[in-house]
Amino acid sequence: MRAISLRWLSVLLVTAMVHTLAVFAQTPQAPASAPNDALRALLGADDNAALAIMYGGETRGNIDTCG
Amino acid sequence: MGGLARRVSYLQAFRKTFAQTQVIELNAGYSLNDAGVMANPPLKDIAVQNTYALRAYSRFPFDAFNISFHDLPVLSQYLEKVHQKANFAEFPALKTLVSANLTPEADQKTHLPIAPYIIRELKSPRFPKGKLRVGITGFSEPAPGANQGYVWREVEKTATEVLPELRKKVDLVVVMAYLPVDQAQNLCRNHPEIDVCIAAYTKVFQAPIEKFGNAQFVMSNYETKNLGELRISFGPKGELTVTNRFVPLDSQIPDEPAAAQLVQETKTAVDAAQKAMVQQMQNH
Repeated sequence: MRAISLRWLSVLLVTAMVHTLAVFAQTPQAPASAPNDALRALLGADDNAALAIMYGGETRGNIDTCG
Repeated sequence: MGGLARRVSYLQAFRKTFAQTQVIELNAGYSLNDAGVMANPPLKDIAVQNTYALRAYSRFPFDAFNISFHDLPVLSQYLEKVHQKANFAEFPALKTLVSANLTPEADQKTHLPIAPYIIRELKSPRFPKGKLRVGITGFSEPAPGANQGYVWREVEKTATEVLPELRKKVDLVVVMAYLPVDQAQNLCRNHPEIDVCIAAYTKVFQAPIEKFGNAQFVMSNYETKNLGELRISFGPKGELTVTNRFVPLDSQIPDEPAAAQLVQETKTAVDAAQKAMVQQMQNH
């Protein structure tokens, strides 16, 4: 009798954990760095590009903004 | 305008928004400060600034960093064989350095060889066969005078050796050229292996894309106040469609917090170095 109770208890526990995890997984959360409206507009539409090459240079050691 | 924190932020947003578009980040050269590096003694604040820049390029890396003749005086000290293990552990950006025409002096065993090219293998359902091998190389105008254990080889001669070899290995050849504009354009005319050429050298602002030889030719924006963005699509037979634009790195792009913190730490460290230099001068 005791063995059966423990088994039912385990089943209930696992069911509750799965349910809790499912709820967490479905909780809508905005990404921490979701683009703001201005940035979204700047990114533009998906033009089906397969590759984007982002390039720059001549920053001469400066990693801050300038000018 | 410009700056690490905005560039990183824009790139993160781009990757998040266009998950099927693969991204390559390139630094066309002169991204370290050679002013005062050769002074005796070297200017301490510039040394601190360069150390933090390398730290930034290590934490937020480029896929390839073209060594220009301005960068070499700074980089040569990090490329000494004797310090290789420690320097490469502290500054992983050193692994992204590329140059087709920079080589250690023949009688010089003290400095590390530089990769003539870097190959990136990318996957996306938008590539013709689901994947793409991109070969990236770089050239710089040779510098006059001493070159700290290295030799600048002649650009055309080196291109004749390196580009056909690279072409055989990849689907797309990208060249970074720290060369006067006419020389960079001639490089493209003379070498049909080049698909894309990114030039940097002068205070060019937003030059339009042009075609020389087989190459789509663009020039990076001075000081990267505007980030160059080439978007490339492939037709059913692999034909390229390329568009270019410059993304203004202005205040509408939020700072990426970790990058912004690193920028602040850099300011603090450079300020402290400058104060120490002033103090030292006053003591003399």
